[in-house]
Formats: sequence, C-alpha cells, structure tokens
Amino acid sequence: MAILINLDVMLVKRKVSSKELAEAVGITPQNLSVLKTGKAKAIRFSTLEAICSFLECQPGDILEFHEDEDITL
Amino acid sequence: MEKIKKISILLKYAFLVTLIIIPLFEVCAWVLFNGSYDSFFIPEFLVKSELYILSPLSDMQKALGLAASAPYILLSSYSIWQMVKLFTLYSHGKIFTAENSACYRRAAWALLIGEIVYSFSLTAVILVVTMNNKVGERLLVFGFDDANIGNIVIACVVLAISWVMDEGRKLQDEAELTI
Repeated sequence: MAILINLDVMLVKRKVSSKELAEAVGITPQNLSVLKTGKAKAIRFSTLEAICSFLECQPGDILEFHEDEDITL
Repeated sequence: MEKIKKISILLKYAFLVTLIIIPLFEVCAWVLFNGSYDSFFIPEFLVKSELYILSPLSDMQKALGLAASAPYILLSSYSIWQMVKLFTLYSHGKIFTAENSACYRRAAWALLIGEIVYSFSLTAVILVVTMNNKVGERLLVFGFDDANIGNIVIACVVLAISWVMDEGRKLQDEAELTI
C-alpha cells in the first residue's frame, strides 16, 4: 500500500506506550499492532478521531501517502 | 454459533456414513447381483435403466460393470467428501473462509462433471451387461433425463453459492482488518 502509518513515530514523540494508546482509544493491543504494522485494510473515522484526540495530532501526522510506492510493513 | 457447530457435527457424520455406504453398496451390488430384479442388491445404474432383459451376468461382466460405473461413483464420493470437509470446518466455527468456498466449488464441479459422466457410464454399463444377451436383445443406450438436469441445476446453484461465500469471505477479511 502507498499509505504509510507513522503511529510509532507519534507514540515516541508523545512518549506514550502502545498499551496506553490502545486503552485510551478502546481497541485491543492486537488491533493496534495490526494498524501499526500496516496490515490494516481500513481505519474507522471514530478510531482515527480517538487516536488524534489522545495524541493531540492531526490525521496527517499518522497517515502518509507515498506516490508510486508499494510498501508492505 | 453453537447451534451451527452441533448441526454441522451431525451432518458431518451423516455425510461420512453416506461416503462409506455408497461405494460399498455399489461394489456389493455388482458382486452379489444375480441378474434378477427380485434380488436384494441391484446396481444403481441397472435400477435406473429399468432393464429387464438380462442374461445371468458373468464375473467378467460384473467386473466391467463395476469399472464402468466407478467414475460416476468416484465423482459422487468426492462431492460427498467435500461436504464432510465443509461441515468439519463449520463444526470448528470456520464459516467464511477460503477453504469453505473451495469445498463448495469443488463439490459443485464434481456434481456437474458427474452428471455428464453419468450418461457415458450408463451407456458403458448397459453395453457390458447386455453383451451376453441373444442377438437382438443387446442394447446400446444413451440416457439423459430430468434427474440429470435437476442435478446440473443443483450443481450450478452450489457453484453460485461458492462465489457468494467467497465474496462473504473477502468482506469478512476486510471487516477483520478494519480498525
């Protein structure tokens, strides 16, 4: 996929652990791992909203589009 | 889900028993058939052909008859085996998986090919069992009746179901990977 998930970077910037974020957003750590590793096929607006709200960031800080790239994380 | 699992286990064993009984019956029928329509075992092909002018069958004729009917019986058994596999998956709680739709697809194709093979098997069987009849009583039959058409329709429906199941599987995959 040409969409990169920069969630790890934001977690480091905000000094938040994956477990904390999963609890705050209300998803399982396994699902968060699926999202972080780029295996997710879609992200709900509600999940994105919860992540952005907790990490105080914009969707663009988490999602990045790379043209002509087929990246599988 | 529990209800699906319970019924699936029941159906799995029902198909398993059928899987054993059908070839066993066919072999017994050919081996034990004494040429009379009053006999307990009559090969399936002869029951359906309603062939009443038979000389007593030699062992060679029985063996050839069994060989001629084998392709159809094997395809039917393969179709039933796919049902066993399908209900095993259901009993394990696997409903929308690639394996499930593959089982439907393979069973449908086996059923479809089986119905085409049936006509040729019937021709071969009738030819074999009447080859020792008197001249004028030997038969060459090619049959295709409404039961065959019915089975072909069922096979096409099952094939369509397999495609629907595969689409369902894709939707489930997507739903599972939507965070």
